[in-house]
Amino acid sequence: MRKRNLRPADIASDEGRPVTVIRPQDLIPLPPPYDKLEEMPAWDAFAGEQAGAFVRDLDGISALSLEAGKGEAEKQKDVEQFISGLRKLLSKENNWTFLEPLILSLDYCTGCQTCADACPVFVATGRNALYRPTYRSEVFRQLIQKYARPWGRIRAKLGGRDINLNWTTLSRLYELSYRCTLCRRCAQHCPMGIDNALLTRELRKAFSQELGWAPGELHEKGTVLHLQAGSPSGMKPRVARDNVQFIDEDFSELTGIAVANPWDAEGADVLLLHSAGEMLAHPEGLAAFAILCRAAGISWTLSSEKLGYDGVNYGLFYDDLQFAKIAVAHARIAKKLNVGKVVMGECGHQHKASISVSDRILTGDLNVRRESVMTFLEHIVFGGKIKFDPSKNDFPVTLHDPCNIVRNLGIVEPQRRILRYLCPQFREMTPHGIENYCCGGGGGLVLLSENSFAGWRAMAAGRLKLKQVLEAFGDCPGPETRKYVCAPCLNCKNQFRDIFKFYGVRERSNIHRGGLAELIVNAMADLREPFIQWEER
Amino acid sequence: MFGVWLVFFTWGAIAVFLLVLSCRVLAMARLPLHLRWELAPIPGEKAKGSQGGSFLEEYEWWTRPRKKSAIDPLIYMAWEIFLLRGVWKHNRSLWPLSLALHAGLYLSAGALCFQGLSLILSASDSGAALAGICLDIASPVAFCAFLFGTLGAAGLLLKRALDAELRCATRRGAYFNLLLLAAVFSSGLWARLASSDAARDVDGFLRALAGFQGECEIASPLVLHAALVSLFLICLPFTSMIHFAAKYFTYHHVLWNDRPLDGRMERKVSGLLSQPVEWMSGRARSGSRGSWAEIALEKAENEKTQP
Repeated sequence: MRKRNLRPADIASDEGRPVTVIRPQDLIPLPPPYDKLEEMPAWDAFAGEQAGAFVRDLDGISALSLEAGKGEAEKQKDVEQFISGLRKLLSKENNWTFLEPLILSLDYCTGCQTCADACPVFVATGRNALYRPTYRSEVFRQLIQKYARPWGRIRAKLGGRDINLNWTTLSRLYELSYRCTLCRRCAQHCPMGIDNALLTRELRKAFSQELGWAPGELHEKGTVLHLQAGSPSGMKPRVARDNVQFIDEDFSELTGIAVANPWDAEGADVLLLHSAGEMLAHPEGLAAFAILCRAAGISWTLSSEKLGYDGVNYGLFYDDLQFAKIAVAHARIAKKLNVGKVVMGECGHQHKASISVSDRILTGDLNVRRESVMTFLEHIVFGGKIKFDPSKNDFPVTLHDPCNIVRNLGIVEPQRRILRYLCPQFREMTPHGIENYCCGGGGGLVLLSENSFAGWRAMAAGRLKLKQVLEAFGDCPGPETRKYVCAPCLNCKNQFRDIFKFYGVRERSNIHRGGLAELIVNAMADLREPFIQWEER
Repeated sequence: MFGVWLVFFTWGAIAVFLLVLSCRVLAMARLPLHLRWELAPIPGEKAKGSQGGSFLEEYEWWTRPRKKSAIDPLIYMAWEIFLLRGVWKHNRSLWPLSLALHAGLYLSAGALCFQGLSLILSASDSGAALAGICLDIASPVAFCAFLFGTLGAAGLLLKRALDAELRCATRRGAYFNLLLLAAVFSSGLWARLASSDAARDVDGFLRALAGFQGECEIASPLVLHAALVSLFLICLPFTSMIHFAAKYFTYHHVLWNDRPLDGRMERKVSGLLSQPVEWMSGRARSGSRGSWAEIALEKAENEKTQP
């Protein structure tokens, strides 16, 4: 069942039988007390009646709830449409956005497999061939070669790359495109600069932009809800304002400091663009920003316009058109408010989407100034307007580097300078900075939790990150010491929540996860009570 | 007569190589401007590049002058090209063989340069002595090239064939490329060992080549080597082995290209944004077709969920 020597063509055969399964004994070992296989949390793909409802013959898991049991005619139509999508990926008109990186990554991989050891999923699953970064890319490459390029079928036969594109290939490949966190560690390690994460995203694009196949959590309950209601959380502007008002009141009472987030202040210096998920899952982060901005005397505002209070952009994970719509909408809101700049919230993919990837589509007056939260916070901390008492943060702290902020944008040091100043027991993970491991929830995977996929995320995708965290706290592993993982990204924080829950990390190791702003506020000299509460909300 | 064929075959191979390589490089260079997709480390970021930092680490980065280094990317690439920095760092077991193969290629190019220089110098009386020295240098350089190249190519061939993980990820074309490289280098080695003065034999062949003369006397091992080199030149631009050219684009155009939008780019992008989009989902699901700009600016209420 577990094939170490998987070939691209294998993805097309044995319909209904998983190409591979994850066996607990193959996973990389964790430090004690997480090293006993028999104590490992029960995890299995869902069983019973549901089992036949969705396609799960890739690795026994259905992350995407793609319905099985389509008729032959419908399947054939899907296959033909996918081929049309592959051709569009290669056209300047339809895919100018990423044509150059796509062509380069398709045509110049030498197959040296240097990328394999860079992949946290491949390594954590005991080098499971299905999760090898080049496996997915090679299937994609062979399909493009055979079905979307001139003389493809003849060249495929001659080159021994004659992969068969049937509905089994299609459905498995769709699932496989969501087993990569798009962390781009593989691209960073590739001597040729080949980007398997980009190829994965292009694959997702072909499914989304041509077949209309995208995970419900990313599209219907993500982008569509974002564009229609204002936030993927479903929060409409009025509800968002009410929620923030409640957070303001709650934290004013808790801290004794008047917490008040201003709304729609035209001409403010800063438009703070949080993720609305923060309001629901991490309200302390939102409150921390309000406290810091007020204490530092910053002229800032939130926007209550639709989309203006939620900076996420799920299009980054799967669809250029959806991506562009949201990026443009965010820029228009900032323009309308006439703010000096937009500052990203603690959200990695928002950083990458807004600061970097959308840069070349925000032309003319849409090209508003956009800044990272890391430099913004660094400016506040070292600006001299707030007094700090680092002894208030005298507990072990480590830093998780969100891939989209650190590896993708090269924002490495500002957050470290803050932590080195404010956290006496700050320690780095190994590796860290641009060499960091993904939390396992990147690429939109953290949003997918149906059909036991949260288990896969924790067991396979996030395992190496957990190992890193445990090793960083190796000098104080027990529950008697409270420890803090600073994860300045909403998706990373949510992934840590799921990993910690899966392995019982809070109970067994007393490790908590939170943002950067909370740690800064916690160290404010004027604060009477500790800001960090340590309980899970 | 055989010499005539070899001379013409070699010139033909050079022509195919240059023509196809130029076309492919031109095709890469003419790909449209793409969205930013940079990746740290970017060595051109002065004083920050080595830690992977970028200009975005500066508070209000748009108010600060960009500090770019022209020399750091060159140093990075020199390490990468000549010592295979990436493979050394991340795939150590492959490094010795890969380095040997690449050293074989670089030294071959070096030896050819000395042979060419000798050819040019020997045209004048005053350069005859120097031409001889060039040939004397070319000889051991070529020997080392063929030795390293043979070891590297054969070693990589064996590694790919014997290592189970590598085997299943290796395409048929990769075996062919390595086999051809091994044949080129080992034939070169044979030609060197079979001749008492191989550099002068090659010199004779190059003279025949330069003058389109078919009546040269070439020993069989050298004929085989020259034919294989020509075959390699014909195949090379059709394979992923032209990563030596593609690498410029993957690094400079994609991974290291973090240049913010400027006026020139904006003009290009405006044209690209006005292109029609034919994707079948999204807005086009409803049957209407718009440009990139129209789709990006359309009202959210038009959003479609399922086909």
